[in-house]
Amino acid sequence: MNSAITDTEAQGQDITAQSGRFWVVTYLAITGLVLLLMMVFGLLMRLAQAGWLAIDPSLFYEIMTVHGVGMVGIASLGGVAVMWHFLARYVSLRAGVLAINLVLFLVGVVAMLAADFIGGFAAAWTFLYPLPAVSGSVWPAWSAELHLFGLLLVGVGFLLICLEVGRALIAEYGGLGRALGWHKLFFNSDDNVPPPAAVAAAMVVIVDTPALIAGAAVIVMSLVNLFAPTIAINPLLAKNLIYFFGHVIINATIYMAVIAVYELLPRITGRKWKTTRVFLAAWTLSTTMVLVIYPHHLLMDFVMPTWAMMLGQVLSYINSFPVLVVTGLGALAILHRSGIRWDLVSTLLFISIFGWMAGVVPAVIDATVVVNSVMHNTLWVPGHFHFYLLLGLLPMIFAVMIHLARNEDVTPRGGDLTAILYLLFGLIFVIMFLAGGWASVPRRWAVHLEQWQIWDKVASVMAAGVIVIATIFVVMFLARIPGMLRQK
Amino acid sequence: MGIDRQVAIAASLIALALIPPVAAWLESGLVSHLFGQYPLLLGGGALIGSAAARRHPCGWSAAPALLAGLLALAFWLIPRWIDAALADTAANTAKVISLVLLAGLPLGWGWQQAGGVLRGFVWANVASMLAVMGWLQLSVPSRLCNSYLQSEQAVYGRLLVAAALLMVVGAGAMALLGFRMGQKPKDGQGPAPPKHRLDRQG
Repeated sequence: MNSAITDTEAQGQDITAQSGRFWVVTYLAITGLVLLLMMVFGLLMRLAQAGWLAIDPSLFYEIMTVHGVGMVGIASLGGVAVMWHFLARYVSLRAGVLAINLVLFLVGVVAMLAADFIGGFAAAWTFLYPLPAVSGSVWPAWSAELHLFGLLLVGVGFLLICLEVGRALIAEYGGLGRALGWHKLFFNSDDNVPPPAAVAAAMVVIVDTPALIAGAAVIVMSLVNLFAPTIAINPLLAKNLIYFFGHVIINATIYMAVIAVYELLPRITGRKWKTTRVFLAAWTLSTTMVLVIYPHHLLMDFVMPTWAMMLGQVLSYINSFPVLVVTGLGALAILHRSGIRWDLVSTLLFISIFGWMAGVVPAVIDATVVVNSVMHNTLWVPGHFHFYLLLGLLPMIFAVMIHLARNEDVTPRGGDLTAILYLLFGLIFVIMFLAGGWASVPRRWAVHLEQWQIWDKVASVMAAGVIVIATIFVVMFLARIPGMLRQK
Repeated sequence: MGIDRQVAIAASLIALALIPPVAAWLESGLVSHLFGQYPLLLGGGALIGSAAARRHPCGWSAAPALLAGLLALAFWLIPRWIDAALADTAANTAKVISLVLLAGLPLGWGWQQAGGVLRGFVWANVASMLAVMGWLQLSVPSRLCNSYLQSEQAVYGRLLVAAALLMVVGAGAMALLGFRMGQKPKDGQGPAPPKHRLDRQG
């Protein structure tokens, strides 16, 4: 993994992928702006729980719904931008699909915003049956229908992205199996071995496509139920489909964004990230397991088959580790004695690996049945997913934004203190969630008791800090957009 | 497969679906009607459409043709019209003509000319909607077709869900093994390969 890059490979890496650059920049600009908006929504909720801001509970749950679905959607959009930007160096992608996806995404988002803030829909991103249709007159049926229709449009857009990436990988490598490097993994063949970016992209296509199909099915079923309430859905079936869909989609965002680590760290250190058989085995294992471990979201559903629960718990222990270990150790191997001079991009990438690895720990703890039965409905759960999204996923996306804003020049330019401040604010922010969960503070409550509010107050201050630093990153990117688009 | 042979097979499939004793037997049960006669008529039309597309390619028409074909098929999947086709000869004739010419033919025409993304998109949508249809057949507390028993409806619903799962698993296996969903771009068509690939080949 530490061998020097050959001239040809370095030349290949230096080539800027022209195709889709406009759309990648547009995607990242929208990602940055929407992220900030969603962060502000999150801050408003923490301020309300802290007792520092009076928000009507109905509005709180509307904000919570928008924040949840908005963050999943924008994490996907940002992940697609990162994946596309780097993957376009290895396979032929058609940028028109990015445009179609963006149109569907924006129309879907507008529909959901109208449904939630005008219609009052507030059933959270999970839209669990039968809540959309049985709101107790809190929201009208049309708002639930509009929200689900918007979500369907967003899903259709991402399906097109998966199909285009899959098509390109099959055209280049001869199949998604070969794009996962199975010919090297199982037969030790060195013929057209895919780079890490292609391996990760293949994994995303394989897991996201069935998840989106399942998501479309359950959304349409929910719509049918809204239009014809006598046609009931088996609640357990609906929950399984929704969590299969949601679990895979949010996991895939990190698998898209981690491509930034595989592509940028080698450029920064001048060392190649090799596609070894261990690396390929890890990705194949995670590809399989991410599809089957979603029952760890349903550990409180006692009617679930025992084998599914066991699968959910046991495989949750294993699922994340293969890719995490090869990514974490790979990064350390590349960095060790590389003479790296830390700057904003490299520090953000290193933080992202830490955030991803450390964020998985509370997730795995929560995937244990005896823990889950106590902790599942507490702030522990938002604690774990904020950990690896705020400190794992987002630093990867910010690193790519800054990298592009610097015209893809990896010469160190400082700024690492800003990244460390982001880590500090973010870490304390997520620890407040975990501490609240540890103290059995319930999640999804608009109003908190006074004795719970110490964690909310500290979290609010830290959230404000995160937003300030994130704004700096986004502004750095937005200010350089004209230059980025002019770049050859 | 030669075009003439393709058309001959298409004619055979349609004829088989319409031979009076066979047609009567197929229409006697919901499952045999929709999983037997419908595919024969659709398959026959699709083979003709595919043969026509090979002779007179027209790339832009793939998506509209697929959409038109799916809409025509969806119409004849509505229980009201399944019943009508069984009760009325004119409606049955309209069903046969529609399934061959308005559903099968455009589906074959469009599929032949569609690229990988469009084919995948149609495949994924059909799979998810088959699952929804299956759920509907199983969830609706009453008979949807007056002409068939509710027990048949339940079998039909399960088969639809199974078909959806098979479509997903089958497409996944083909994609893993490298079966091309779309046509290979001809020389000079499609996006240019990345430069690094040319370097490697050189």
